[in-house]
Amino acid sequence: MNNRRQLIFCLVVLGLYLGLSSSFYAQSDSTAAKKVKKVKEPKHFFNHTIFLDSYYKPPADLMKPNGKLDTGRIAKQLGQYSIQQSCISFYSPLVTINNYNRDSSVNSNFHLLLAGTAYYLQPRFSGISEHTLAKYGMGIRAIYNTGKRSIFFIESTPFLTQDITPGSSDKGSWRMSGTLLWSYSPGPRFNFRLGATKSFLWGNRWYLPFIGVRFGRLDRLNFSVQFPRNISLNLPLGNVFRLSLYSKPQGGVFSFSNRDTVYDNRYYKNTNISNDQVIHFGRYELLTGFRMDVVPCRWFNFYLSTGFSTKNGITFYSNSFNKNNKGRYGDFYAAAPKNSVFVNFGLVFRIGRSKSYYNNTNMYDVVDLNNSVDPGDNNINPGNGTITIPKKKLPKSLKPSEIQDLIDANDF
Amino acid sequence: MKFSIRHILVVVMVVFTTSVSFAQPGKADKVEALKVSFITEKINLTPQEAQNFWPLYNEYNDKIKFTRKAFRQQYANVNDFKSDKEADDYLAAELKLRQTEVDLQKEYFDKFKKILGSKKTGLLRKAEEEFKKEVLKIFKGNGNDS
Repeated sequence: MNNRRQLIFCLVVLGLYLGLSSSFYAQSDSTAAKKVKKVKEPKHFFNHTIFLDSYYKPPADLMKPNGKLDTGRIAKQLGQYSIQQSCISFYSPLVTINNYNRDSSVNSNFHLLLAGTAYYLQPRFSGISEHTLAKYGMGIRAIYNTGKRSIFFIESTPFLTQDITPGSSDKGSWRMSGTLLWSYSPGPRFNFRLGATKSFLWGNRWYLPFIGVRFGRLDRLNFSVQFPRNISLNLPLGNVFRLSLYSKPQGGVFSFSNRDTVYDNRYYKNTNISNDQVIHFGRYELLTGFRMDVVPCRWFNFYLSTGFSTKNGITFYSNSFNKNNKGRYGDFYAAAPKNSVFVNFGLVFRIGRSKSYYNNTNMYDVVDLNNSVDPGDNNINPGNGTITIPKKKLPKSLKPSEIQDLIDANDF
Repeated sequence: MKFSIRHILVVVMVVFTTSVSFAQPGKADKVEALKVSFITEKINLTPQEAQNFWPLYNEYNDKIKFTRKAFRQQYANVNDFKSDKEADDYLAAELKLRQTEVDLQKEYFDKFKKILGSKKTGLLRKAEEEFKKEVLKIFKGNGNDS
């Protein structure tokens, strides 16, 4: 069995290697390989973007929120807790309307994007069987850039959470997250955002204000506070590497099969409800660490991140107890896993061509806004790999293919 | 399937080596980014001018780029002409390309002038030419003398 897993892993790595190699090679030799076809100008500012993210946290003891070991029935039943999650998300431009006013002095644009996510979470409790919790979401986001100082953003992603562990009878629960934002930049070095968000990031259903402020240009050193999403200090190290020190919450509320009888009605005699087949698992943690983005080209980037997971919390909610609850869920168990390290790794692929927006700081904000509020309320940011960092030095060598759009034969 | 740190490190190394080895297509973008920095430095735009100018300049640049790309894709692999008609088509296409470029320049220089004024638009053209010279110097330094 173990050999089979090793074999699958090797095949996946080999596939990844060959896939990436061939796609890059195809890019570099595209003119020779392609047959004659009409070249159209790109319609959209956004590329079709797919990002994969993997996150791991090692086992830790469960504590009560006050820091004492939780010795209750459920804590004993659950044992140690670790977490692994993987996610694939995408966004794809559907409609772009690009307008200039009569004297061409103001460029406004409207973007409609389709966004989706498939997210798998494996909370591992040493005392109960393994669970794989899935979240599938698909939504629409609209961004309107006035071309002056304001940008308006709205997104809504309905998603289904389901315990997909083999043998689970969970049919899933639908939830909805969404964000409405107004972003205002008096100049490229300062931006603030105001709005509201419905989010499950903090392990429960929250309706929160969205307040954001950024100091510094997006293509240079900047410090950004985007409550409730993240606080980050972003430092571009040349054009390929981008370092970020950050703190952000991560979590959600997921359907969780009650086959291990975590929720046992015998202990809740006052609630007049039968044992739930499915309960809800809420989880959150505050991740503080650094992230290195490597952006070798516009079509691909990857990132590696590590740090400490603190303010950890897990909660279990009874499904039927919260049936008519429109606000925050009431839990029957809450605990705080011990602080631990985490490792996070992600790949971002961009497909197709897009309109250029070099030095267009309004568009930089549009791109950042779209990336800051990821599809499906996972708080996984694919990074601003398409925002070009200003370069000071020309490369030491150049090939004809790299300058063919700049130089004409007559220039020699 | 359980993943260990070792598995993650293997994936990171594979992706890193692959991306670094095949990162060449990104260089053209970097040259483009450098051109933008070069122009910014030379024409000294106010924040208001920059906000209005760059979207328009990017649009102009994209149009020129994709017009040239279309021509290149059609004729890049043609080393000989099988008939006079083919050669005539090629010459006509090249003239059409030049005409399209001139038309675009006319259209966009007028638009630039409305935002930047004539002096800065003139400086923009000078900066573009200067940048070309810089790029050519490096290109010729590679042993690519034409």
